[in-house]
Amino acid sequence: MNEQQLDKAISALAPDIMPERDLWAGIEPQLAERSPKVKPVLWHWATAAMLGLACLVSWQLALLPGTSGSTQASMPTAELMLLQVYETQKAKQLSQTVAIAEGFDNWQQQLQVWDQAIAQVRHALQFYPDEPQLLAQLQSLYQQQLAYIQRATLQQPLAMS
Amino acid sequence: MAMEIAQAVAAAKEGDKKAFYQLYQQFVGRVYAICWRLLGNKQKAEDASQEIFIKVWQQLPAFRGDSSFGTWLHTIATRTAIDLWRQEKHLRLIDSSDEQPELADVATECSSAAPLEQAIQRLPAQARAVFVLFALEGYQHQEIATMLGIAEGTSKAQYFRARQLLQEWLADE
Repeated sequence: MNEQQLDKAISALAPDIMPERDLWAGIEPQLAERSPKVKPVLWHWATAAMLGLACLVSWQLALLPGTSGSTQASMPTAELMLLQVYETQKAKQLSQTVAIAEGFDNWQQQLQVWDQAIAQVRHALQFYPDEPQLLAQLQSLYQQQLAYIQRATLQQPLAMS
Repeated sequence: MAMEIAQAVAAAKEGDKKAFYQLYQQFVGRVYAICWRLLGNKQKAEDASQEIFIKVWQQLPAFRGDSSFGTWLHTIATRTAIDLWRQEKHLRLIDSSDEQPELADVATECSSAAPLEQAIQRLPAQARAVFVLFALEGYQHQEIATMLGIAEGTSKAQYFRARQLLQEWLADE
């Protein structure tokens, strides 16, 4: 058989091959019922994140030197900077989320695990303010959480400014 | 037909299983063909096809229609079949690139298929995968290399090898 004959035989192959048995019987029982809407859930989550960010920024503004004389020492500078940078980034990523990638159905629970860990480190920072190891741990947790969000979510493309 | 598919997709996205059954009927032959040609085994191809349709159902809410539903489904089917092909290859704990199924096994699996179809099943695993993806599914060597985790040059070499073997075998018949 020469090249042309082989090409001809290839193009003659049927694109479809029907299975010998009906596979639907094995598929149908495994189709999960749809929850009413997926997107609104995402938007609720994103809205909550944005509200959280707004609260955080307001809180930070209240703490800035010169804006309020009463509570300046409440949060050490390094911790505050970390919170600002990563919470802003997290809120931005979540607000651009349009869908969840395959295999990440429990993404919200996973994020909560990181949130709990972050809360614990911040609690420890109350006793040891500006402790380098705790700050490094806080930064690492945020980075892991952001990386996970990146993997778990499908983001809408950024608009060109 | 395109309109019917679009309507079925929209309904299935909302959870309509009857609409999804229409999509299944429309595309099962295409999906099964990819699985059977890549995996070379009826039972595995059936299991893979079922897995693909379940995956499509799960991912359908995220389908935005940037490409046609058929193209989107084809991508999921190919990637899933390749994942299973790779698992199968690893499970054998040997380099199956040089392994060829026995002719008797192939004949049992696809006795009613065209001679070329039977010959494809006799190809070594990696050469078969490359040949199916390039010649039948229309992927480029660069894409195939990425999907199979091989070099682009290897993909080209395996395709060349597959063609040589097929020509040799089909000339003998």
